[in-house]
Amino acid sequence: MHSEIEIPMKDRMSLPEERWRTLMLASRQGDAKAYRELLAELSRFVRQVARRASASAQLSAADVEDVVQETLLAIHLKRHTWNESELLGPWVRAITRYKSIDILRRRGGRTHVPIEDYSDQLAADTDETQLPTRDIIRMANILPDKQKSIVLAMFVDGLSTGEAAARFEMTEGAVRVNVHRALAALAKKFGDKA
Amino acid sequence: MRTEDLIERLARQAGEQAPPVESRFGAAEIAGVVVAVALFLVLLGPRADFSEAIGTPWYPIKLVLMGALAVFAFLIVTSLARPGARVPIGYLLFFAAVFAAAVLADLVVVGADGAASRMIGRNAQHCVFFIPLFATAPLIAALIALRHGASTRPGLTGAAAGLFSGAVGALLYGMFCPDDSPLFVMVWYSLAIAIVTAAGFIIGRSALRW
Repeated sequence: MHSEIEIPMKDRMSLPEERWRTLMLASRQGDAKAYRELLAELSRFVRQVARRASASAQLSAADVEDVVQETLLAIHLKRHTWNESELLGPWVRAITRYKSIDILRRRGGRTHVPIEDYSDQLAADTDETQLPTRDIIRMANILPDKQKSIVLAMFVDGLSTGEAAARFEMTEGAVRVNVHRALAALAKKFGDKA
Repeated sequence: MRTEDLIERLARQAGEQAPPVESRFGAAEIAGVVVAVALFLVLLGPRADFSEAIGTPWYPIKLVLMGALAVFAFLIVTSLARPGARVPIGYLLFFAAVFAAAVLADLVVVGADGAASRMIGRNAQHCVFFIPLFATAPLIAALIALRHGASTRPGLTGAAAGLFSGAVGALLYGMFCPDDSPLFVMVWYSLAIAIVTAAGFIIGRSALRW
């Protein structure tokens, strides 16, 4: 199974280096519009890669989209690892390749994702900028809407408890209760020991 | 969640960005190296004849070689933490060439008969014990800092972190060590650094996944 996963990338696809670089530099300056545009372009690139790779791994369209989302999230979380003196294209390729293989392997092998890996981060107070790099978005999908939006706001957007409270117009205590319940629900669903 | 919604959420964080890998690594290593130096000063300290030894050819050359190895390994490990970055592996080839030249020079001076005793040295077991010991704190610091990076080759990156830490350990131990011959360094320092490199590889393979 593992050896069947191939991520063909070196060939054919030539990447719009200059455009991506311009967009990335702008988003580093805080230009959300440029960042949105870049992420949208990257999502198309990743989807293309994932579709090709999934042909051998026999993945559904939904699985492909999971690969796209997790890879985008990884690119976002690791965006500080791109050095302006280096090319952006190979950086995107390398992350896409690494993440796609990782995700496809997990799909091919075990589908069980232990919650222990994330419980620290879920429980921790959230001025932490290092977010869990895998699965949080997919896992959050099992939660009720309110818990889901709070979890995503805090662990994907990186809002603090206070900021989340302000956004959802509730008290910080209520935010904590929701996070706690979400954590419990995730633990029940994904971990037997958590 | 739709991909468009994810993009929308992520785009709001434009402009917020963690510091580059090099600065995290550097900051972590300040702590790691301080611990290693403290350990070195408490347990061993520079050798008693330091002021004489520094005037001999091989003692300072040994230290410069280990220092250079640490610097080269630093450049390699931090580039390995950046996806798709060029890895300046040429530094290692350059180091190997200079090191080989030093070994040859020593061989020419002492001849085949002298070589064996210089290779065996006086303190081989010490060397293999203390270098990994002094490398431990720098290695832990390196691996913690590297989790902040994004290595697409976790094992290799861990090994490079081990090489860096081993070189730091060797530089410290080298200040105490009475054996300065490149022949001794070639056998025993290499063995000790290889142990740390292997440890880095094994830990990195799982600890540096992301």
